[in-house]
Amino acid sequence: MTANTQPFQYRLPRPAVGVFPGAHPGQMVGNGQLFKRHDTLIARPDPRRIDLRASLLDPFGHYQVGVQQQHSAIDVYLLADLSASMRFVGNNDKRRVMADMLLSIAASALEYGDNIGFIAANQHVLTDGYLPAGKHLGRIQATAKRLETLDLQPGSAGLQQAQRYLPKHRALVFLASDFHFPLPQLQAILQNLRRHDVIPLVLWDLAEYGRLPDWGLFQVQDLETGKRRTLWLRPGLKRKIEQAFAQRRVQLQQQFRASGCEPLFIDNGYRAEQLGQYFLRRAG
Amino acid sequence: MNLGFEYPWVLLGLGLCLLPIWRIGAVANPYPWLAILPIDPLSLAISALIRLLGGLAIGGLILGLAGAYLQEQQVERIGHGAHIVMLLDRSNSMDNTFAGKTPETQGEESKASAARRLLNQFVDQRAHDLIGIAAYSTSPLFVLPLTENKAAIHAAIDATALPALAYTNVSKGLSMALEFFDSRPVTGSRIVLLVSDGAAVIDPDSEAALRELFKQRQVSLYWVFLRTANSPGLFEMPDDPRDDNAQAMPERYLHLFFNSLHIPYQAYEAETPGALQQAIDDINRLENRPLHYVERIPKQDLSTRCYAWAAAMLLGLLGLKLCETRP
Repeated sequence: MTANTQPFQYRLPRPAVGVFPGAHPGQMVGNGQLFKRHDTLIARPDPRRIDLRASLLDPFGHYQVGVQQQHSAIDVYLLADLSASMRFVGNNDKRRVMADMLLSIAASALEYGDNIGFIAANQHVLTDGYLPAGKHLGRIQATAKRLETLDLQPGSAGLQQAQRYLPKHRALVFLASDFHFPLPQLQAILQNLRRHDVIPLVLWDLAEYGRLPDWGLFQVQDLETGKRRTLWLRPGLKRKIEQAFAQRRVQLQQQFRASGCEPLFIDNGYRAEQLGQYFLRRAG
Repeated sequence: MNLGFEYPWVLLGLGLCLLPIWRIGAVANPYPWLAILPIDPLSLAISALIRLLGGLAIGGLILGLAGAYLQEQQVERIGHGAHIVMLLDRSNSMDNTFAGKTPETQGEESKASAARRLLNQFVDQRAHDLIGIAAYSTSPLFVLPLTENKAAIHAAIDATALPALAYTNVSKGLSMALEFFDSRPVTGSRIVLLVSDGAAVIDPDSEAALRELFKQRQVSLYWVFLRTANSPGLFEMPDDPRDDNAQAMPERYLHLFFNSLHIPYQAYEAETPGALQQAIDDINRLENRPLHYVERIPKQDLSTRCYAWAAAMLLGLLGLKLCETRP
């Protein structure tokens, strides 16, 4: 496990919903440390937890049973945009970053005892890359390995259909993409994912805007459409490009915040600490 | 348009001019999303410039390969000049000097060579004239039709340097010279310039025919008589009235015949090369009537210019290519 794929700690802002016992405070009651309430023995037939003092105080004379909060396991999904624009190689190969991210998230989820699933989409959801939530690290590693050399096809409409592959109950969904598509489309995606706890991971690269040459003729080709454009680079134009990206960053932030999630901009390769800090900040 | 092509099928390649619209030959750097890049007018202008230069360069190369040329053109012009037929005497005596001797020492000039030299100068001075050349000896010799090609005229005049022929048959020479004007529009002056050093009797039949021809053709006649020393002149009256006949004095009688034609006629007796020069200067001065003539501009090869054009465009493209940067 390399430094990039270290696990990090995450937590949910709201109580998790899950039947299976796990590590996240949830709405389930059962075996746990934290006292929630008293219940009758008829409702909770667990004589080990009869609270005699509470039973005596009960005006109706029922046996009262102490009920604890049970920590739940949740499903963690990485919903990855595998459109052609993710083929971009700047300072870091975005596919490589995606693979690192998958391994890191999988490691973290498995540490917590949560299930990890992977959904990839370009124009459609890639069914051959789909991993249902589970605890099988081997499959995750195989998928991550395949991801690094995958030939990516254009299109990002599949992200809107991804919720069909997600569970009905609330899950933690890492939405990783460069978000290089129009904002209305992003709005539709977030609308479809509103049931879940979405962590938007914006995969950019410094080379897209910060590391362009200062002067000269520079032809760029859109990875999605194949269109070419010739730029006469100069410091003024570079500044404009940087401003355009800064403006885009603000737009994305506004869009995500409107949907109740805070984006994390990853523009210099994947580092697990970044996600750890993100969750610490969110809890604070 | 009088543009022509050596290999017109090569012009099919002009379709390649559209190639730069598709690709400009720059390294395409992958970029995730073009829509986020701001629209930059300067970049658009330079991009259009590259495409334009590329298209023009390919176009120039294709036109060069197709062998573009400007077709021979005929431009109608109005100038001053004349249609001149030079009728040169090629009889034996023309190879003698003005003193009537065979040129032996260096520096002595035969009548023929003096005539040649002066006629060449004359031709150079007459810019817009159409000049034809005929010669005569025992029979008339057709040398050069009326033309404006100076090189051909010089060559034809120089060709008279060949040793001369036998006798003098003026009448046939004259009728041939007059035939030069057949089927030519009457524009400018028409001149027959007879250069001879002697004359011969014209028989009555030819005389009648010549009279008619001169009338029809509206020709003016200049006779440069290269008189040999001690030979009878044009204006000389014989001492003995018995000698006053065509056989004894053919020159005088030919002169009288020309005078009786009622056409513009001028005779010059040239006894030295300087006098011949005087005769030619007179013609030069007098015969400069407005002339309607057609100037021919020869076919011009344009492929060199096409290649130069393409090279200039390619140079510009090379400069832009050198401006290309890598991330």
